[in-house]
Amino acid sequence: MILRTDLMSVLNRRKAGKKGKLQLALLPVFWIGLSGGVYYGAHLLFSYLDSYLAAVPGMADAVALNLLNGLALYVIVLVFLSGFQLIFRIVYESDDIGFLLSQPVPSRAVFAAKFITAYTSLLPMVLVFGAPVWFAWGSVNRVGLGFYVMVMLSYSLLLLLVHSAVTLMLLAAMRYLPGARLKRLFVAVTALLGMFMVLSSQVMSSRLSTGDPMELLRQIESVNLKKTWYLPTTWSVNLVLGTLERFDVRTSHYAVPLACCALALAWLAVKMSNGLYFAGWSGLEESSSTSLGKRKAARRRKTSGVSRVSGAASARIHFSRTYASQMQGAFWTILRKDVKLLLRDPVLWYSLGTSAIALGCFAYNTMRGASVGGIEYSLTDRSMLSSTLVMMACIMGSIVGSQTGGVSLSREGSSFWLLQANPVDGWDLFRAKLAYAVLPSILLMLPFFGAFEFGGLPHYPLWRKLLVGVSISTIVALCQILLDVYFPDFTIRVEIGSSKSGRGTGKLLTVMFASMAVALALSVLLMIPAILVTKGTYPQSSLARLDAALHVAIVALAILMISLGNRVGSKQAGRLLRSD
Amino acid sequence: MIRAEGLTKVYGALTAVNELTLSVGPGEIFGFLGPNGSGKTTTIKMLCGLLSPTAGRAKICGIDVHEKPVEAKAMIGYVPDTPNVYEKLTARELLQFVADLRKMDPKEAADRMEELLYMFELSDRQDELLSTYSHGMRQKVCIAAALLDEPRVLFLDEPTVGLDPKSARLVKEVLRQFAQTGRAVFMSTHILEIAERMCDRVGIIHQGHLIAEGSVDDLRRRVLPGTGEAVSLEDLFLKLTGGEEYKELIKHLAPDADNLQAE
Repeated sequence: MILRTDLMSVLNRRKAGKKGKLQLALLPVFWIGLSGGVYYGAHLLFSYLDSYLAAVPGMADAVALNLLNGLALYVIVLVFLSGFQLIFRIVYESDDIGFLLSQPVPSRAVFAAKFITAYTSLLPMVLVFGAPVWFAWGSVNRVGLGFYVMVMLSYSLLLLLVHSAVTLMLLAAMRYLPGARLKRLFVAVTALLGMFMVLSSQVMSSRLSTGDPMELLRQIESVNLKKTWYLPTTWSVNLVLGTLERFDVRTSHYAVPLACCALALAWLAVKMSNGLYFAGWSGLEESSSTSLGKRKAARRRKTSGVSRVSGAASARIHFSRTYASQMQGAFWTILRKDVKLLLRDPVLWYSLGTSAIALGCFAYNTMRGASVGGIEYSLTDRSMLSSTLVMMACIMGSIVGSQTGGVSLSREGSSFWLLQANPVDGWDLFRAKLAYAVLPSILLMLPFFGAFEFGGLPHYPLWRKLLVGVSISTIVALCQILLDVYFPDFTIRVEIGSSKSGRGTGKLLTVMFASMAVALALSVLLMIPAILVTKGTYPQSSLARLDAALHVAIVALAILMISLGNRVGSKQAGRLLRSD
Repeated sequence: MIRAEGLTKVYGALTAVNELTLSVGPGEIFGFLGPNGSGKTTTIKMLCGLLSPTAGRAKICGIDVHEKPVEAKAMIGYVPDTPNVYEKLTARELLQFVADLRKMDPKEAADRMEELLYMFELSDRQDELLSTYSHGMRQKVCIAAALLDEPRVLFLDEPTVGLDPKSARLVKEVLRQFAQTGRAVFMSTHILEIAERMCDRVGIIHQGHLIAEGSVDDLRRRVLPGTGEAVSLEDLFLKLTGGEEYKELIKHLAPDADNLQAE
């Protein structure tokens, strides 16, 4: 009954006007389009592998199977990284749980319904990215219908197994940890997992950097499926391979343990929920974040004694000491508040951390490649490399910005009345949000460009890279803020990589893709002089002049857009301040 | 100090507030009453400059709220019906945020914050995140934020909802003192006893129309002449807003209620 009501709520979106109908219609189109893209890409890859590696017998299969095994591992990592959040949101944070638990319904039934809802929410995500790759491999190898059925079964069971394991961990963790602390733990674990994956890929990449195909085959086979028979990912892969005669594998040998483990863990989760679920849900709103208050209160007591009068006096001293360096007025106050909120928000640290790791790996690989290979860079290479650095930093900055500063007006949420009810004008609000949206890009650019500066790689000067990078980032931030001011969604709640309860997910994705597109388009412009010189349209001697002209043009474009955008955006922000 | 002239708000086919005209003078506490969905919050939001009216104008101390919103808002303190605040700020930080937005003198702001936090019994928890506060505590923080700059006019939308009796009494005292200094208070409430005891004048809004306005005694004389003080504001309210028609329905739903009461 609970499941039916959940389904009805989804279907009832079509009654919520044109927007709801459109969302409902576009969702399958989006998923189908995405899986089609994955299928096409994978098909190209496997066809290429088949023809390119035909000379080394067994190599194409070995590489493909490692890829497919890695894909199964990806399912597990995906469920751990984003699924953890999704499961937590659906099983513990759904708005209706309080209502359901107040009804004469066993808590196990409520848990079971939410457990299934979470599973069905994860399944499309896993199938869209996982199944098309298998289908592409099957299509290249011309397999029968049974193969495709087994792919679906294998992924469904693997997901059930991981989903049940994660849910069991959640049940246990929620029993002993308050909700707020658990959320912080998510961020730490997710970041650690992300770092582990990046480092593993670095190790794998250095191990596979060999020119000898037989050595490569040996390295690949060292992690083959027979040696990892105990892993659920191996069961999942072998379950599918059992449908093909050329692999000496029996489907039942792997289907039985996979199905048994998945169903047993699911049963255990539902069984254990009887005592754990309600207790965990009750502690959801508990917070362990009082340490900040306790520390400050202790400091206050220490400096002020116990009387109220001395408390006021100490606060005055503290205030006059700190206030001199602060700036008043709506612009600074809003910016300061946003930065303060963000420093207490794991989203910034997660996004900034992952982006910094990605940029760090890029910097390390580029510098390592240059030092190991002893590459001599031509003038064109130098220009291209510098443009690539700016592009990388701007794209990463735009991704971080699209989850933080770029949607900061929407993130005011139900507290927006505090700005509406106070003497704030649209001009100050818009400028504060714009400055805040550019901030992540600058934070990423400084160490990234600095590393190259001191790493001795050829490029144009640091100040020029920073100027061009900040200009592009400002244009991107301006687009984000304009989008946010014209289409605010005050229900948005950004969690790690998504929005709470799915609210505002469409907006977050739109902002992210739009800002990435703008950053990419402007960064690609930077490469045009190098491309034109390579093609021989201009002599190499004119490259520096062409680069400089383009940089000046981009800075001028940024200034022009800021002045225009400020005018338009401030008016709209002013309108928002006067109405709901 | 507060003046609304023909204030109207239309949402599609629904007219939430229809040509509302009223004024509140210095030192006055004005109670704004009405059934659920009658247009109370919409009116308050239009008077505070949080919502643009479809027609009409609102003035605070002679300044048009929608023509000069920043100047007008500098004179207004507003407490919303639900105390939504930045959960990752502490109470002190939120008050500091409001003080900075209103460009208060730093020393004066620090003293006032200390005073208000002490008065609302929040001093001990002033450095804790607002996410750890109960609904009532957040409500007190919102009231403190509205009083921080000692505005000329105070708008409160259901200020006592979620407050314990002690805090509710404190809020009532604070509002009385606030009005005694020549400032105006405009508040909506469903608790008619509060309106009857505290307010100098009340206005009753029903389906977007201001159907009655004046002191409680005035209304008694006009609506139920000859009944004297025996008639409560609740009776007046039900008479004006059509609540009496439900008496029959209640009798039908619980026919034995009178007998049980007698027993």
